[in-house]
Amino acid sequence: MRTLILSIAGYNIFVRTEAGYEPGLENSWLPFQIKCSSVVYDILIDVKVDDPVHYISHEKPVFEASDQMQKFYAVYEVKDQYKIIAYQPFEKNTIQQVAFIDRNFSKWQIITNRVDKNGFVYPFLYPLGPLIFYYMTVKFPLLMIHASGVHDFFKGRLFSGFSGTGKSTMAEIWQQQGFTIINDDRLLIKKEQDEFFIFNTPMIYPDVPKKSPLHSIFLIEHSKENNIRKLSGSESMTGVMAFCIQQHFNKDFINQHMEFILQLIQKVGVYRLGFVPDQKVIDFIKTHEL
Amino acid sequence: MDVKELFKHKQKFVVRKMDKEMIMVPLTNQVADMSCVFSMNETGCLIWEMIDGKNTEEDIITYLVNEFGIDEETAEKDLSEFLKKLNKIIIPD
Repeated sequence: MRTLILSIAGYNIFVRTEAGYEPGLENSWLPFQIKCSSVVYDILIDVKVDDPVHYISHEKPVFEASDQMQKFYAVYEVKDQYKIIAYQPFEKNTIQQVAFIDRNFSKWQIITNRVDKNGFVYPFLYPLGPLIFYYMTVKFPLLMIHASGVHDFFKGRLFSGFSGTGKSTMAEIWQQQGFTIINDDRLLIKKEQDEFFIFNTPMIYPDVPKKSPLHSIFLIEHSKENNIRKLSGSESMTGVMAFCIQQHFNKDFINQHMEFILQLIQKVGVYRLGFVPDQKVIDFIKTHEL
Repeated sequence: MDVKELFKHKQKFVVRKMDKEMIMVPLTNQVADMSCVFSMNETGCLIWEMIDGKNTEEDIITYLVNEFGIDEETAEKDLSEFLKKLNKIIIPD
């Protein structure tokens, strides 16, 4: 049996394969691998090499992500487990991987036949890889959000909004001033003691693991002039929740995330920000945030 | 969908009160639209609580008139707008 350990937002994910195979990582996942002699882990993932098609079933999914062209993944409740069928991107409804998760979300079994000629087996393909982060958010004090995040040596800020509202543009503006982009698309928010932090996760492009304290969240949109408004409690809750990555099939998941956001917005200011995409917005934000 | 019919769908929402408002998240088996999280004002909260399978629309209107001192026409409009909003987001069985 071969193993490796990943560290995502400070949680250890222990990955092991059956004899004869070795766990493989895509390039963008490699920086998240840690050397650790201990076998203490938060999530255990067993990787089994088999044809995932053998594990399909015909129950009705409790959740399905799809569009008119194809399915991305489907979630099933199977006895004391959840089962996820993940489909090959851009290949209509071809099954790529199957995963079984215990109801504590601490033990996964991933079925895959993606093995290279050297015996490396790759469990973290898209879309199953990022789904592991989602299920971490229903187990740990975490939330996954569509946002860009930056750190200016003192404060961490999140910029969230619909596609095309300027998340990446905003991150680039801060980067041009020498500040750090934590990520420009997807982040984990974590509560540690009484403080909130943002972490990046493996994307399709390589980056090193990053962490920043979180001070403010901005729900952004392009505007003819910079303008800002601090949101009320309920506006903050609905605003943040709307851009979190969630599966709304389970009341417990929703309640847990709502509780997390409630605690988050008591510590972190949430603002509606209309902005002109130039450097002036940095000073505008620093002047107007509380 | 009238209020009695709507009662059957109440369990399809997760609701949480914040101050005088209420946050509502509908359960769904599909990737949720980003705008699928709603907040309701104080009137909406009261209407939601009164939807218990027994109260009729007339009962709710009478309650709103007495509680807020508004006229019947306004209460009727408030209830109608509330129902319209919910009807848009309820996923049929």
